[in-house]
Amino acid sequence: MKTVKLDHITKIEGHAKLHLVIDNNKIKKLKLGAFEGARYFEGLIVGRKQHDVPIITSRICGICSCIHVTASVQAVEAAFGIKASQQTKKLRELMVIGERIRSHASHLYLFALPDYLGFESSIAMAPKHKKEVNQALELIKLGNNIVTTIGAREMHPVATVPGGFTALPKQEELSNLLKRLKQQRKQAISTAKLFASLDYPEFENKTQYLALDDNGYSNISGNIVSQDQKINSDDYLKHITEKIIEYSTAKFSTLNKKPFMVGSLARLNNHFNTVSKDTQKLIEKFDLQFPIHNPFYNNLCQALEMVHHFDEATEILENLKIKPEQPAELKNKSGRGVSAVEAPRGLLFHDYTFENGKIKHANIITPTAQNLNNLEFDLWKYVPALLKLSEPELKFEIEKLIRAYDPCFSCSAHFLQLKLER
Amino acid sequence: MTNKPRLGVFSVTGCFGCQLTLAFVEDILLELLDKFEIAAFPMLKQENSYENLDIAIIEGSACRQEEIEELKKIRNNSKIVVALGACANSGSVQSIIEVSDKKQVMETVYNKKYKQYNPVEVGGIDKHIKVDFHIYGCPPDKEDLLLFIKQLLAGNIKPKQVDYNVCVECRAKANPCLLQEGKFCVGALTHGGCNALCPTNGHYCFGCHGYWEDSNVEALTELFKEYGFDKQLKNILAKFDCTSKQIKQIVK
Ligand code: SF4
Ligand code: SF4
Ligand code: SF4
Repeated sequence: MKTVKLDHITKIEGHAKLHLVIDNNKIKKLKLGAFEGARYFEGLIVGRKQHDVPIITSRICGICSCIHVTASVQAVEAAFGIKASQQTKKLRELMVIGERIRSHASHLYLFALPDYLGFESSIAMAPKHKKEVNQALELIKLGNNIVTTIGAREMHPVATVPGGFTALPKQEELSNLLKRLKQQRKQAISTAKLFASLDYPEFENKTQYLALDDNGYSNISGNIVSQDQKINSDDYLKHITEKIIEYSTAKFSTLNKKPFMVGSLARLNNHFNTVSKDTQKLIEKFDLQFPIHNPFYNNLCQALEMVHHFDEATEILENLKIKPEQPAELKNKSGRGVSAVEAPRGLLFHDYTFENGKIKHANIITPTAQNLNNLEFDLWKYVPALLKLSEPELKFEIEKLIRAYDPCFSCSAHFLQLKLER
Repeated sequence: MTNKPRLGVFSVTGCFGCQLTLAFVEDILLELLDKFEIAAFPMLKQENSYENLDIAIIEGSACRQEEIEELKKIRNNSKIVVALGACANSGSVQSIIEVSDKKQVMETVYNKKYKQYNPVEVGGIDKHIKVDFHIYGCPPDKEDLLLFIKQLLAGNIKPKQVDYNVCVECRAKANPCLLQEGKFCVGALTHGGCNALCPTNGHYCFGCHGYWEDSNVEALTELFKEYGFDKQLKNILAKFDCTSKQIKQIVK
């Protein structure tokens, strides 16, 4: 019997570990769990007023705080029966696209690429691959600048509130962003080319792929699709079930009782034909046949999405003329509001029920919490083929698969910390 | 052999926003990394050593027993420990549980089939280990953070840190004062360092840099009462620094 323990999976956001027991060349036990401490967000916001809620839930995750805030304000608005203005929607979309660019760029270059080029880390990779690392930093910077221009801070934006924005970007700041997007677009394309040229392990594990859909690819609005199903966002609870697992502080999710995947691969599996024209051209050029069932391709999909996001952001900016606007006022109300959005790592739900302007009940499901079950499902299938490898090699291959998912455990785990009752 | 300072960047429970603020100094990241020997940075590196650190920067607050052990291990191996951000300094939003009905909060999230779990009391890392420097904010201001690191690098073992409230920076920016206009703002009770980010962007300060120890708290709470803001004050302050004595008093 051989036990492999990965007590601290590195180069991801958050803290996770894997416990693997192999007996007679068979997996006896495989447990992937988050070991973040509990932060009880859904409990902490009970009794809170609408304006406090996004400020608190933003702290679920730094790297994707913009999308958490966006989901949060949209859920509040849905509960209060408020419709955000067109300008507000566009600005929110732009902000989360900025966040997506920086998130994908950091994951692709700083976390995933060293795995493929054979370096211990991006720090070790930097001296030999200055060009790539600098490109990553420039993309991250652009993403950060988009976020700051709209939300006023890189992490945990302050200007995004229920009803709109407390401060609006200046037109010249937006023109400046547009200029930079155009200048840096070639970096997005070369990123896609770079990730199309990598050797991904041969591995397939077909699963259910879930993504937001608003007549095609969508970031912050619409309903949910998988290849063979349409789900109304408000009804997500009827289809997605969260299960508590004793070895993980993040819950495990199932869709119709089976594992499923969310994120870049799931988005492109559903929407490869509604991304921007040039992204579609690249898909064709790389000869990719969607749906793809190899989770390692999640990395390539992130890179392809980056091109799509450049094109989306450019289009928004070319048409956006800022006019003065105050956030809509919210009068105390009772009711439920659900917002389903795409975070960098996949679907995210914020679901609030208010009573007289105060939260009575809240449910938040993050992308990594949805992916964990599928990741375990993949590992069960992937590991047996690797058993001939030495232990360090085996660990490396496993971590590589885990990192391909771009998991964010700080996000996924903050809801439960449990001790099993025996 | 190098004689660069050995640096470790660690995290216990938080949102990774502070570490990312540190990593997202795009223009100078490579230059900065080169000035240190990066002994540990689990977010960015696979191989991490805890030994003989000159500086340990820690994000997050301990929410599990194992994290307290982790903090002690870091402290025992480091000459200087820096608490980075609101979580490490006072628990940030997870400290809300300390001023709430704990059992109720946990029960809302818990599945009943699990026994009530015994959480550690949330707070800053100085509950468990000695901290040499505090960098405030959720997340900290990048310029503020860089200034601190540059001072350390220049061999300054007593770097100057912000010791004034948000109002000082707010007035320096010539923002109209919300409070004077009869609107809500807790900048006067809050540690500065953010360059009055929120009032500059049309939002009141909600105290993400934590309680400023030298606040004239009695006079200010009186003023808030006079304005009819006492309820709002409790709500707003029950967020980032719920473990500080004064905030606990106001909030309870
Ligand atoms: S202080 Fe704020 S930004 Fe930093 S880790 Fe904690 S929640 Fe995140
Ligand atoms: S607006 Fe707020 S932070 Fe600025 S001076 Fe007034 S009270 Fe202080
Ligand atoms: S103004 Fe207040 S809430 Fe805003 S960043 Fe500064 S300390 Fe934080």
